[in-house]
Amino acid sequence: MSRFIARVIKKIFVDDSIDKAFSLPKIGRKSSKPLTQRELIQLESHIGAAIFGEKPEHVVRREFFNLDENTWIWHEEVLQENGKNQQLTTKYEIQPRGILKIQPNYKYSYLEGAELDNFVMAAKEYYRRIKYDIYSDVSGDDAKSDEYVLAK
Amino acid sequence: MQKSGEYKPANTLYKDPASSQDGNSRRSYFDEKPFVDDPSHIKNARHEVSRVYGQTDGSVEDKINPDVAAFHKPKYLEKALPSEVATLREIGKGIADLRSSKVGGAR
Repeated sequence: MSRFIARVIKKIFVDDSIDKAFSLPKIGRKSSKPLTQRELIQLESHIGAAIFGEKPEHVVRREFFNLDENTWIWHEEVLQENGKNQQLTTKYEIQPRGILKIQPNYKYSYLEGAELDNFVMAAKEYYRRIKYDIYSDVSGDDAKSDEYVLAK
Repeated sequence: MQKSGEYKPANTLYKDPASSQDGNSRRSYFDEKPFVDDPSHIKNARHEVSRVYGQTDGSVEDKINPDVAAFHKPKYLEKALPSEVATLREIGKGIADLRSSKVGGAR
């Protein structure tokens, strides 16, 4: 599982550093330049990581993004006391029974309680922010459907 | 040959790799067809139910112990779709729609 997630992360963030992520073309409301799905996910992840506020000093990198309709990824690199980076990637799968949280070393659990509430809240905020910051120039913007999603 | 007193299940998916006749040690639990796809297993199940309940008309479904049926029911069917799942699916679809409207190049 961890290899799969590592491949996904690598594929989306190919050899990029935080600086490179910042240097991505900014697409504002008036921009109509077509982007690849990977570039869109990079942009979304930059916004997604900001949902949780400023990174603590020891956190080198943080990513939070929606990979596909049923998958969310949380990735964090933490600087340890010995000077090495430790990576932790968590995959969240939307399943009929609930939200399955998958971590390295075969740790599986369904979200519940405050963790589930916070995750749903983060996903809603993610959707709201990316819609406004990245996709707000999309024609046919349906405010009613937006309200429908976020009201739940 | 089976030694006397040695337990050997008569009807199981498991195949001992060492005893496989073709010598293929890669055989595993799932080399056999699942029960649901194999009519012979259904026939055996009907026979077993008939033996236990004295049922011979073939309508075994009515005679299956409801506790056993409940045990085999997939867990996710036991309760309605959690509202959080529905919400996150809506959000996932919304994001996919947004992306598809913006994607212009190769994925």
